[in-house]
Amino acid sequence: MLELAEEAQTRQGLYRLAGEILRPPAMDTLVLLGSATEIMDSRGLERFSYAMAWHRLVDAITGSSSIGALEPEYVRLFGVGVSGTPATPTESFYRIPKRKGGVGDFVAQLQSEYRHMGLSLARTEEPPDHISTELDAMACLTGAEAEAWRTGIPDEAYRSLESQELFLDRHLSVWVPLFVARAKAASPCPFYSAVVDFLHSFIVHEGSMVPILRTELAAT
Amino acid sequence: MNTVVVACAAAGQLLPDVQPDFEFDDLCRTPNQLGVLGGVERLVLILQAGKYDLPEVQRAARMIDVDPLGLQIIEVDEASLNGSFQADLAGVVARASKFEGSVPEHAKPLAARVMTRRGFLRPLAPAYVAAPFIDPDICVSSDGCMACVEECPREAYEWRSGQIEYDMDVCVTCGRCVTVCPVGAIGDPSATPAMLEAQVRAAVDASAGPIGIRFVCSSGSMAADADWVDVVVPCSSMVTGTWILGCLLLGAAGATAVPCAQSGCSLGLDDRAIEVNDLASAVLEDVGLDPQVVTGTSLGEIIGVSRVEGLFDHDAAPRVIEVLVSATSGSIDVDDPAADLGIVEISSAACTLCGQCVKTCPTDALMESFSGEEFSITFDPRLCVNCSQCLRSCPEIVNGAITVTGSYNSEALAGDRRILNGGQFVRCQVCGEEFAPMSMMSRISEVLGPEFDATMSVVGSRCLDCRGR
Repeated sequence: MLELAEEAQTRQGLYRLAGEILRPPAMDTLVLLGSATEIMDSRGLERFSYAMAWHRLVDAITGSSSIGALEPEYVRLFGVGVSGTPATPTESFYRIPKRKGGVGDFVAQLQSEYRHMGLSLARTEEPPDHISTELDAMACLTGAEAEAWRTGIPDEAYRSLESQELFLDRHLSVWVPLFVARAKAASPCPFYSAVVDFLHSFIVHEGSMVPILRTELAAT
Repeated sequence: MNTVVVACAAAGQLLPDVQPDFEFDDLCRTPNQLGVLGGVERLVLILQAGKYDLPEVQRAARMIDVDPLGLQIIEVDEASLNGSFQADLAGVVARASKFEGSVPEHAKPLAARVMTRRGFLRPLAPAYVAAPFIDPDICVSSDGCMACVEECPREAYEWRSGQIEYDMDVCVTCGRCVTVCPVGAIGDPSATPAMLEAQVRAAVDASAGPIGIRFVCSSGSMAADADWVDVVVPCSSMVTGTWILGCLLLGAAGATAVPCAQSGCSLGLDDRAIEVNDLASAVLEDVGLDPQVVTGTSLGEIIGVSRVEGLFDHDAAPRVIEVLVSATSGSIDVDDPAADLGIVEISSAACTLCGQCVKTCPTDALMESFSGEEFSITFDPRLCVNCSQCLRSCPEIVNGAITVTGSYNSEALAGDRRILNGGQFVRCQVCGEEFAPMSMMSRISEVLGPEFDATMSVVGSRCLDCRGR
């Protein structure tokens, strides 16, 4: 079961990395991302359909020498609360029709889902429906799956996969393609272009792979 | 486009007339050797049938940033020694070159884990196949089109409030939705019309003598035959009559869709391939050509090499019929449900001119026309793809208001858009605006009966805005 634990851990790492990279860039972001990509690169990601998008992301991370250039581009593309932001990185923007209100209810419902999955939100700057928060939630679930495999409890791994599938179906699989399309339409710099391409490939892959993983586990 | 042909040495030995760009020993078992290649955009691999592991080959392709969904694999075995593969290879290279890339939604993973002998699950490198993907900018489901929903053999599509929902888990990637979509909104990156046309054209051009084209399922293996070139499609049930005839116009001396069961496919969608072969056969008979050339058993005379492009496109049928008629100086009149062209007729006695058929028609074959106080429904046979969406939307279908006949009819195609039914609109007695067809009001009155005469005197004489006044 260690191989299955490693696989879940790899997915956890990718969720963490994607979540981190979609936060506002900080001084040590590039260094952290560089180390993370080195680790992930040794995990044989060429097995998966998102591998080419991953290669482009690694190139973008290793090719970016300064955080200074990324900050204004991040604000231009994703700056929450900035009027006219091309690609707002929060789910409610895509799910709640304009001028209808209900964002509060949507976010409250999302928080309740987090609690139901056994997750509690740390005090972060990002709102609960921010892309990074949701990717972090998936990282927690895949981490729980890895732990279940490591300790030899397949039922626990199954429950985690169920939660992952549900969360992808209800949230990330629905709005990430819309978010990515808006970001791409805003002609992002090569760095963020690679970031959203990878996010798209990875989430679409997860949306089709997690149900397969769960079904195969159920069949045993 | 930089397309490179790489062979496993053992497979290459079976094809002495083929010169690959690169050859590796035991490439089938160790595809990672591809990692030494640089700057490759499109890849054609010649491998031994049954000796390679697809997930590992796809993984090796990704290592050099080649999209596995565009990867072309020619499988060969001992039987290959009987055939000439020059035309096959030229076709496959041309097809690979026309690959335009895929989007993440196109990759369908098949399996992820395997049970070990000791009953443990082990992760696998998944194999990926190309899945269809709907371009939302082209799809007209919001107008009521459900062609893909109706045609899918596994109910992978669902129409919900004007949106098509697709379930990749259920989809068997047969590709039928791709060719039945009236507007060409559904794409399969591994078998686009441009790729298939390029393959047929190049194979014909590279062949020393007359050859036939066989459309075979992806689950089947390439048969060695000097006279026939296999064009692999996701499933032969997706092949249209237009594709068969298009091959002949491109210079093939024969063309056929090989029924699934014959090519080793387990989907059991044989009928469709048989139907399109029969359809093409009837068309050839009409223009005085040998109908046997679409049976896959014999070649016939070459009609001529057409330089017309786009003979495999979703809207190519009228072009194909037109070119065929001009090449043979014949005429075509074949009614067949499998035709990807149709003729719509409207019964003026039953039609109320409600216009639902016009609203639903995905290709604008049916349109509305106004001339003075006359309203009419017009029809252009060049745009009708026999999708029958108009039948589903017609509220008077039980009275036979509208019929669609699958038909290749050269005379109809040569004609102009024509009026199928017409009538006058009722003018609002208050504001003077025309608001509904007179025949529709008569039908409503008929359905409601005399006890609603008072209601109808208002509803039938005032537009929506003026009814409350």
